[in-house]
This record gives sequence, C-alpha cells and structure tokens, in this order.
Amino acid sequence: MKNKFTAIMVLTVSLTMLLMLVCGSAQGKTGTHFPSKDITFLIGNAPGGANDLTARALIPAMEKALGRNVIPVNLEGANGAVAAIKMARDPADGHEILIHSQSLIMMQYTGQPDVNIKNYQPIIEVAEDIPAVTVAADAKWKDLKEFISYARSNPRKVKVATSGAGSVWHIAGVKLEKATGVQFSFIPYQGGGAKSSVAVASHEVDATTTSAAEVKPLVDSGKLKVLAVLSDERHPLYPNIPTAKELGIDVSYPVWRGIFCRKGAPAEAVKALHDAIKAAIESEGYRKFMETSGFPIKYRGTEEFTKMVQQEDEFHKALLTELGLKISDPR
Amino acid sequence: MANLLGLYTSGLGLVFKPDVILFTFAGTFLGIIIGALPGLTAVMGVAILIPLTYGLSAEVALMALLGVYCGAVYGGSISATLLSIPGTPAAVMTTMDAHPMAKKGEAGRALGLATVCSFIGGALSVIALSVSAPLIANFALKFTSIELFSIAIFGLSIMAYVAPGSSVLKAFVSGIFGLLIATIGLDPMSAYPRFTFGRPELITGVEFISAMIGLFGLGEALSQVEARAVVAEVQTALGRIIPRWDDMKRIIGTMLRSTVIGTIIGAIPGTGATIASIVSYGQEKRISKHPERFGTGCPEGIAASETANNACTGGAMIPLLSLGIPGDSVTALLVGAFMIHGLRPGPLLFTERPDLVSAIFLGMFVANVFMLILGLGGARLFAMILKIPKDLLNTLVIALCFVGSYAIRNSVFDMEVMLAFGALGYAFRKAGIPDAPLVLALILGPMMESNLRRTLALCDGNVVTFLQAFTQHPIAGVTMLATVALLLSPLIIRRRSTAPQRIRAEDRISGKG
Repeated sequence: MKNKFTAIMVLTVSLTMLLMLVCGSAQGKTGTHFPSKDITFLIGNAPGGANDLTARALIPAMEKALGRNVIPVNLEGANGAVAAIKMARDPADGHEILIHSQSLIMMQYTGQPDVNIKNYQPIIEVAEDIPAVTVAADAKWKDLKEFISYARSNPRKVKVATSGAGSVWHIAGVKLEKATGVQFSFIPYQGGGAKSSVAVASHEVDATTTSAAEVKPLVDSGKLKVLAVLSDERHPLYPNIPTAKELGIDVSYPVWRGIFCRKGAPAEAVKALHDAIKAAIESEGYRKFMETSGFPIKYRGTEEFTKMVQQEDEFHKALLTELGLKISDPR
Repeated sequence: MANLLGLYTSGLGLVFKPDVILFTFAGTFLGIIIGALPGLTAVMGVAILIPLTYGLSAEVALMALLGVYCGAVYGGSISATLLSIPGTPAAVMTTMDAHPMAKKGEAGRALGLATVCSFIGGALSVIALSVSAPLIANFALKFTSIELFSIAIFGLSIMAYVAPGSSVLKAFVSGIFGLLIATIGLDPMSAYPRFTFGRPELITGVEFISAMIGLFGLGEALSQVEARAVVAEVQTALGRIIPRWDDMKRIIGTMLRSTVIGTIIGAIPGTGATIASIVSYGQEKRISKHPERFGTGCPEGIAASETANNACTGGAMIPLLSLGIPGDSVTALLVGAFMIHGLRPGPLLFTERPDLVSAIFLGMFVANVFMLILGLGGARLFAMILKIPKDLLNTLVIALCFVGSYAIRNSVFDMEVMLAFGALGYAFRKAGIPDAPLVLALILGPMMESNLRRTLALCDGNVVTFLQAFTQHPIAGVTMLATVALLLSPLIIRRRSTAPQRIRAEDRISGKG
C-alpha cells in the first residue's frame, strides 16, 4: 500500500516536472515573438465615455494586426487613476495597455501621488479633443475678439464653466486667460462636458471652454454658438469657425488621447503595439467612428509622443503650481 | 399634420420586424434580471451590452438597449420586495413598503402592484416623451444649479419621514451620518481630496451602490441570521398577483401624480430615477391623509416609488432627443450607443432619421408592454425565492452582496466598503436607527453641496444675492417653500390639535403608525 502511494507520488511529481519543462521551453520559443498571449486594454472610465469608445473603435483592426484578442477592461475609479496604478504594478511585458489623456499627467500633482508618469511608456497618440470657446447663441458677442475685449474691461465678471478645477477644460480656459491677459471667473461642473454646455445654454454662465464635440448637440439645437476653437487647425465639425490663432490670439490646447504601456516593456513589444495601433487608426471603422463623434484623428509615433508627454509634464507641473492646484508630487 | 402623424407611424416598419421585436424582448428580459440582481444596475446593464450591439443595426441595437433600460429600472423592485435589497438604487423607496407587504404574506400583491405601476409610469412617460420631445425643447434648460439645490433640499427634508417605526431624532442621526460620508472625495469646487486617507479609490467618494448593498443586503442578512432563532418563519404565501380593482382605484391618483413627477425629474439633466422616486414618495406621504401608513406596506408607497422611477425612463429621453443632452446616467451611455452607429442624438435626428425617432417612441412602448407581461407572468417564478430555506437564502444573499459590490467596477476595495456598511447597517438595526435616511443623504448630499456652492459662487459669495436668486427662479422658490412647509407642518398640526389628537400627531412624527 505504502509502495503504491510512493509510486503514484513519484509519477505525479515527475509528470508535473515534465509538463513544466515543456511549458518552459514553449514559452522560451514564443517569448521572442510578441504578443505571446492576449492583450488587455485597460480603460480607466465607464463604458460609453470618450476614452472607452475610442479604445473600442481601435480594437477590431488591432486584433487583425496582432493576431491575438484584445480584451477591453473598464477599470473605473478616481478619474482613471485606479487603472493607471494597476498597470504600474503589473508585469512590464507589453501585454497590458492603457488609454489616457493629459489627465494622466495632471493627476500626479492633483492628489494622486501613486501615479507617476515615469512608470508609463507612451506608445502612440490616436486622437485629439479640441476645446471650443462657446457662448449662448443669443449672446451679445459676435466673435472671439468682442468676447475677449468685454472680458478685459470686466475682469472676473465673465463666468466660464469647466468640468472641475484642474480639469483639462479648465486649463484650456486658463491658457486663454494668459494669452489675452483677461480674468475669468471659473465655475466647476462635475460629471462631464455636457453639464458645462447645459449651464451656458441655460444662461447660468457666460461661456465654456469645453470639448468642441461635447457642445455640438446644443449648437445644432440653436442654443449655443462656438466663437473659436483652441487648436492649430480648424475643427472638422466646424469648418467655418476660426481657430484662435487665426484671430491673432496665440493659444492652442488640444487634449490628446494616447496609448501607454508599462515602462520597461521590451522595445519590440512597443514597436509591435505601435504598428498594430497605427494600422487601426488608418482603418475605415476607426475613421468613420471619429467622424461621427467629432474627435479629430491625430497620429504621433512613439518617439514624438514620448517627447510630447515629457514636455506636457513639465508644462502642467509649472501651471498647476502657479494656479495653486498642485497638492502632491509623484512618488 | 401629416408630418406630425408621420413621427408616430413612420417607425412602425422599423419596430415591427421579427428581429427588432425579438431583441426588444430579449433586452427587456435581460434588463429585469440585471435590475433584480443587487449590484447590477440599469447603467451597468446598458454599459455591458453596448459593446455587444456593435454588430447589430442601429434600430435593433437601440431597441435592445432601451429594453434593458426599462426592464432594469423595474427589475430593482423584485429584490426590493422579496429580499429587502433594492436591486438598483432607484428601488430604494420601493423597499419601504413592498417588503413589509411581502412580509405580511402578500408578496404577490406587492409584486403585482410594482409591475403594474412600473408599466403605467413607463408607458405614460413614453407618451409624454413622444408628445413633448418635438415641442418643448427648452424645459430641461430651466433647471440650473439653484433649482437642483432646491430639489436636493426637498429630497433631504423627506428624510425625517421615510423611516417607519423610529423617532425623528434617530432618522436625523442616520441622515447626518450619510451627509458626513457624502463629503468623502474631491471637494466640488477646489477639487481637493477630502477624507480620502490616501486611498485613490476614495477620490471619487464612497461607491454608493456598494454602500447600499452593504447597508440593506448584508445588514439585513446579518440581523436575520441572528433573529432566526427568535422570530417565527416569515409567511411564504404569494397570493393574488394581478392587482385587485379596489387597490387600483386607491392608487390611481398616486400613479398619475408620480408619473408627472417622474417624467419631469427624468427630464432634468443631472438627476435620475432614484431622485424621482424619493421626491415622489415624499410628496405622496406629505399629501396623504394617512401618512403613518407609509413604510408599513401600503400600496400608495409602492405606487409612488415604482411609477416615478419608471416614468423617469421616458422623461430622460426628452432632453436627449430634443437637445442632444442626456437626462440621466443611462441616457448618457445611450449617446455612445448612438454614435457607434453613426448617429448623433439631438434635434437633427428628427429631420435626418424621423423613422428612427418614431421607432424609439414605439419601441420603448413595446418594451414597457413586455415588461408588464414578463413581470406579471414571472412573479410566481421570482417568488420561489421565498420558498428557499432561510439559512440558504441568507447565505445566498451574503454571497450576492460580495459579487455585486465587486462587479460594479471590478474592485476589491468596493467589497471592503460593502463590508463596512454591512457592519454599520447591523449596528443601526441594533440601535433602532433607520438606514433609509443615510442612503438618501448619500444620494442627495453631493447634489446639494455642489449645487449650493456653485450657486454661491455664481452669486459671488453674497448671501443677499443668493436669497434674491430664489425670487428670480420661481421653480426653486416654490420648491423651497414646499420644503419649509413640509418641515413645519408637524409643529402646526401639533399646535392646532386637541388633546387626544395630539397623541396621534406625535405618533405620526415618530412614525409609529
């Protein structure tokens, strides 16, 4: 009886070791080839939001290019910080990617010290979201110049809706202030850009510098009008609206959306991901989706995007300090 | 005229196709199940299913999602009735009366009333939607920060009245606890984290659904485990499901008023079915001749909550279709669903795709009919829950509490939140403190705070300007007057009443009806 038991034990152990050996060698073989398993696509926001929809629009073409499944995982919480923190703790093998925007940089300084931009490898920029200086359709200002000169002679009287202190749309308004030397009174509205545009349409505030895509429905309803967009080029949704730069006001603040992986991922994994996502950006499905949603497609390669993220980090750190919104340092 | 009629008939061809009907049915069915499971809400149901509708045509996808929406708002009442756990936050007020009624052995009556009221609320609100969406686009824009603040205050003032069988003082203890917990998270004006103890998960505040599941679900299960040895078995009789005619006659007024309240609140951006049912319940209790019966299992309570939360579904679609702005969090997700199919909800949809707008009206109505059929037909099946032995049921409920709170955002932290609130709920039950006011405060606290502080900022921090603002905003002014009346009415009643009546009045205040 005892012998039989020992025999079974030996057999089990040796079989397990054999299996491990086989697995090990199998992994060794495919390890040089990325991806060796399915890709997890982390989305730090609820399904249906701009980040979520953008990520999901990329996935079909990415899967084709990579030959693996790309599984979207919505990990909500703390405006995307929870997902970012998870990725920084997971293995740096490139099999987990994250979609994020400027807010990944800003949250380091606004109370999320566990997020450190140095833990993330920028892969590619996929889209932009452009702030639009928007007022009520029946507002007295005909164009951006009139609006600014009114704001200049009435400091702190013009109320501008943002989606929260230290949000990207607030920073867009601050950049407009700085470029023109005026002072607005910023009023925060939690819970997305639609709230800000509703506040303008109901005449609770005078203007907003929220997303051009977000104000579109109320512009179509004849409740709002866009005075200018804060980007280098005109916006596809508003071909007749000038950029601020065209009007001689030097301010541009495109909110970028890009894909990151954990820092330290093998170079060939970053390259494979970049190529797959680039193919996805160029796909018909992505182009069509971006057209309806009103986000201009914007491509920046790994090198260019990495450099920009670094510059953006320095810029936002300085600006948030100046505004008194910087309350933490990344650790 | 022909054009106007076309808005209602041009979608017939789109809706009455076998696949569209099938998906509407499947959506409604799934929605009811999602709603009935604690932790899975209408928002989550729609969110999970949006990616699955990528491959479908626009009308099939939208009908399926609208079915989920209508079904889930209703489904919450099933677990509220049978388990005393609101399946969705919108069913919080349903729990107040539906569960006591079920405990009295009238589970069938409670389920039947909830189903019929949900149907009436949902169906009438769809009619309101189809009539008003093309006409009154501006309505949603009348509600600015000061109006939302007034609605939140009105909702909070109900706090003292929603708790049956306990004193006003204890209700306030519970409510103020809730208000304190509601301050956790980012400061609404300066975005500075408050009471987060360095936990990134707390930046956006305590996850409300985990708190609710812990408080109602785990708290109730724990105290049942304890009480089991003492209390006799709860009656498991189901009784008649289809509501009796005299029940219907009794609640017809409540249903109509609650439909109006639900539709209006649904149409206000930034509110939703939960707030609609709270306000409606409070309103009905305020005008009722027998407010002391609320919370003990009275049909009016079920009707007020269930009619209003389902009336919200049609209401929330009004600003979405007329202005392109979502009325609540589910319709906010629907914007994404529209966009996937290359559509932009808003006024242009009426000229670009009138057939689709028409199909939405018709499809939502059809979903409500399916909801009625499934609800009444399935009541016997749902009520099998009551036949499960109590020990097994409590274990299942506790397991469901864990799964549900984890599922909200795949977070172990939310399970910890649920556990903490479960302990709190148990302690509250021991001390005889009602838990409903805490939940109300958790929902309404952030809404009250951010809108109050925003209004103050808009008034440059000047209190005089702030008070004057109420005269310039009639909706806010009237709501505030109603709140004051609600808070003072017990005092006035007490002063006017003679000695024997005084006892009754005091009973009413303490809710010992």
